[in-house]
Amino acid sequence: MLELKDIKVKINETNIIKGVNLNVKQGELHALIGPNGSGKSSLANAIVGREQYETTGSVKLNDLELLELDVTERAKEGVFMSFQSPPSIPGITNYKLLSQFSKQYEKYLEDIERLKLQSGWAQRDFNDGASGGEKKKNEILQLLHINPKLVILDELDTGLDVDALKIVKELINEHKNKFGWIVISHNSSVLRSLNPTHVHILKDGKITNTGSVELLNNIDEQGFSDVGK
Amino acid sequence: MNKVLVMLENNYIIDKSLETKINIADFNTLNFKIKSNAKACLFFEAKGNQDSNTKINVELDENASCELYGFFKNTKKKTNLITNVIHKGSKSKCNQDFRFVNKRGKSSFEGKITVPKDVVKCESHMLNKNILLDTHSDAFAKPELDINNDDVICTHGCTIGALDEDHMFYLQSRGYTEDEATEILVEAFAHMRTQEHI
Ligand SMILES: Nc1ncnc2c1ncn2[C@@H]1O[C@H](COP(=O)(O)OP(=O)(O)OP(=O)(O)O)[C@@H](O)[C@H]1O
Ligand SMILES: [Mg+2]
Repeated sequence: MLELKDIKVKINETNIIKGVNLNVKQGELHALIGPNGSGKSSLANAIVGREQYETTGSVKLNDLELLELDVTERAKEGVFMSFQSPPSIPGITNYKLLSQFSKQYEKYLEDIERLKLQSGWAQRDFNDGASGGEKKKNEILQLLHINPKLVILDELDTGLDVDALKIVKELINEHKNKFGWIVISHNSSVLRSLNPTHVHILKDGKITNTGSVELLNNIDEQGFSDVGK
Repeated sequence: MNKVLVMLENNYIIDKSLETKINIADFNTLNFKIKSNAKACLFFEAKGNQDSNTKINVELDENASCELYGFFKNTKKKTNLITNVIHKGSKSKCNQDFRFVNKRGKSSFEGKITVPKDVVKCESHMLNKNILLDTHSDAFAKPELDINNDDVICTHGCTIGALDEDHMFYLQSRGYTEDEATEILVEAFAHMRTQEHI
């Protein structure tokens, strides 16, 4: 479904991603883990289509070259990313922002309840004054209404409390077979609980190791610097 | 809004509560005198395609309060606005929030607040925000504070800039086109003005 070939990303004249290959099929969940600053978010943003990122190589979604499309077109083709730091946009409500894709207001309210967001959430300004965890829940809330093909979760778990994490894990499992997944996290136990089909380590802009859940155990024991040596 | 006035002349004496919308495009000068204990909430707009050039004078008596809000979309036009708020009486309050969105357009906002020496315990805030949607647009801002004693609370702020790039990217990543995202953010910008107090 998603096919990355020799992806290189330059940000402000600096090489950040230095040749990444990755294939994600529907129903697969790829865990992406790596040190701070290794380029995980940059890679994710490049797939989504951040204009300032000079991206070369090939990103194919079901044989469609995404690098030729702008960010809006990619979204419409089914690329969804849950942002590491979602913005607050005062002046527009949470539901209004979503209403373009979803007129299912009843379902929206049910999802709010399921995610244990406040009952007035729909009419509150978008992420305005929201806590870190609420912002992450809001990302999931949108995912549940957008119905994409590729889902990238960039540190969704950061900021979520244990109960929220449990709900989010359930939701991911429920929808697991519908999408292809790239899940970025620093928390190997969270990643393990999602039963990833693949685990990749990104170091200094390159995937240095690919394996199964085993790899997570190695990272826990040896740290990033010694894995694969 | 409990009352919409059709403004026919440019002198107003407000002695009770008034909330109204005013089209500045019709006026060169507007004078408001807010009497003791009266409350005014005035929303300004500029309808039509013509440029406007307006001066708003506000005088506040003792314990009078006044909210001045303005939102102006300058698409291929120019809006010049001068406000001149004079706190004539102690304990008077004024809050100004004027916002401009310019697209191949220009805006100029000059706001002056005067508090004389013997007028105390006043509160006056002035906010001016400008969004430039393209490089052909311009905004000019000049706040002026003439405060003559220490017993006042007075703030002013001004911003001029493009729409937030991260917000644009976020909305586009959710499937909105550039134009749709711009529209949403402009609407949000306009909507915020009544809620935000510095
Ligand atoms: N706009 C930018 N200008 C310059 N450098 C940037 C820019 N954006 C990202 N970088 C740099 O790119 C590198 C990779 O950043 P990125 O956010 O992708 O890392 P990450 O792997 O997601 O890290 P973390 O685990 O902390 O989230 C960092 O060194 C960062 O400083
Ligand atoms: Mg990151």
